[in-house]
Amino acid sequence: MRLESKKAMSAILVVDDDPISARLLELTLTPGGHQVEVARDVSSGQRALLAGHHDLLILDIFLPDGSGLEILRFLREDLKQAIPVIVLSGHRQEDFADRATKLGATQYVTKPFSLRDLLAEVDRLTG
Amino acid sequence: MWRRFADIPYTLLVFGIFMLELVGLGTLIWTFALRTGQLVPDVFVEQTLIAATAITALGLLLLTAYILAYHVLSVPRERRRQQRLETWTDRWFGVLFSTEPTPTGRLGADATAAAFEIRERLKGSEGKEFSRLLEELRLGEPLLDRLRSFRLTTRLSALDGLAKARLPGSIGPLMRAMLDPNPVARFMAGRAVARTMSEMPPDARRDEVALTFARALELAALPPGASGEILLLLEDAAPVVLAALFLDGRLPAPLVRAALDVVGRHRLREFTDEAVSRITYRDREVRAAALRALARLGIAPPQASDPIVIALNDDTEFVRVQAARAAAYLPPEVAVPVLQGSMGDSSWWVRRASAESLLKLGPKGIGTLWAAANKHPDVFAGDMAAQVLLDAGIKAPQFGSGLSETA
Repeated sequence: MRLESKKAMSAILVVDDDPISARLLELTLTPGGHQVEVARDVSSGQRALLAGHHDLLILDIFLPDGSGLEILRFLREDLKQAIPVIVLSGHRQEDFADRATKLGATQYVTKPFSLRDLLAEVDRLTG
Repeated sequence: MWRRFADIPYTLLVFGIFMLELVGLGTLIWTFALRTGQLVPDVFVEQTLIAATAITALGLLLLTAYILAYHVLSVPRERRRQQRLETWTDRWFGVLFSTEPTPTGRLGADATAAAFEIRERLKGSEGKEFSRLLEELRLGEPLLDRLRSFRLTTRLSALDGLAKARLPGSIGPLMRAMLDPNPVARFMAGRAVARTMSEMPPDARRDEVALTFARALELAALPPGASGEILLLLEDAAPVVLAALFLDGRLPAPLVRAALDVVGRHRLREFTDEAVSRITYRDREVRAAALRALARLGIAPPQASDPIVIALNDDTEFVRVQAARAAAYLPPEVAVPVLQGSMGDSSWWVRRASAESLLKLGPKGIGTLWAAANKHPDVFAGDMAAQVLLDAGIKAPQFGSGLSETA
């Protein structure tokens, strides 16, 4: 089983407090040439967005100091950035997906997820 | 809880301090008693008092020193554990995607913990491939052994690990664990089976497992919320288990309720008839669950029409509320008159649900709400109609009567 990425060199910000999930995302995306930056909470995620340019944001909803949707709101309303955002969540309920979509999420992915499918989605969104 | 390890030294320390205090206070009481009888001099009492105070101070000092030392030592220890987990995460990732060789020999606790954590986060072919690898390496066997432990915490931690690992080979022992005398262990075992089943391919083996699981779930006799959570975790395998449950004519009411709840939450339209047939069930919780399922499915087939209309006059308030919500999916010519009637229900909740259902029925329903807001024999029904129209952004005739938008 191999992971193959068709796209190279995108700057991706992953905001996830779960170290294993964040590490798996890093391991999946980095070999394809993507530059991955990891933030663990809302405040460090917002700081990272302010500090540099990113081509894609991968966002967990439940973070230690608040909701990942706050970062999404910050990105869309305060920074006025239109970069694609993949929201990750352990919740399958439609209302979570609806809220994320209304705030401007490009994709809503429920955990657990397939690393290969996620990589394909990242390639598509950054292509 | 601040302690994650070293339970025994902590227990011994607290016990030692407690015993010291006991001796100190006992001696003090005895000395005061002797002094009351003029049997010892004042100076002896003072010395005893000082000694007892010193013992208390020593106890506090020891306890504080232990807690501080624990924190000082546990932070780097935890950091080292995280680093080992991260190293193993990288290594397992390499094994899964064929960039590293499969580890051989006896694998330690960190390797196993990292493997189960990764398995929990993987889905699809990668998840199945990883489960196969874990079974080849027999990583689940120590957990299966621990299921037989007499200690509940050991059994629970084993069940938690097996729920993460989702090893097809563990289903049999997990089904047996669903008969555990402790309800928490039965619940955890049910969750582990459900999570494992959710990744099984839809074949004859899964159907066979579903029948056994339905029976085990019935014998586990869990509360409806717990059974509902287990059934939800089945995800794509839920229909096959629900079919097995609904086949059982003597299924206990809490389990029927849980099954109907999952029909609605997973939007399983193939079970619409099962929900319809239970609108008139003897248990009111089941009647409400059946109606709630129909409302969530957004469907009310013709055969549901009469039962829903009857349920709008049920003795139980929460059944009437659910009936009012389900009525939104009846044909407007049936729904509008009955909902217009239930707008005058004695319960605020039923009036609200009826008004909201009328709103969902489109122009006919909105027209009825408008008319009710304008003139309804029941003043509360009129107010509710006006409020629901207002909340929907439609200016009702009673707008000026002091109503404001619901927060």
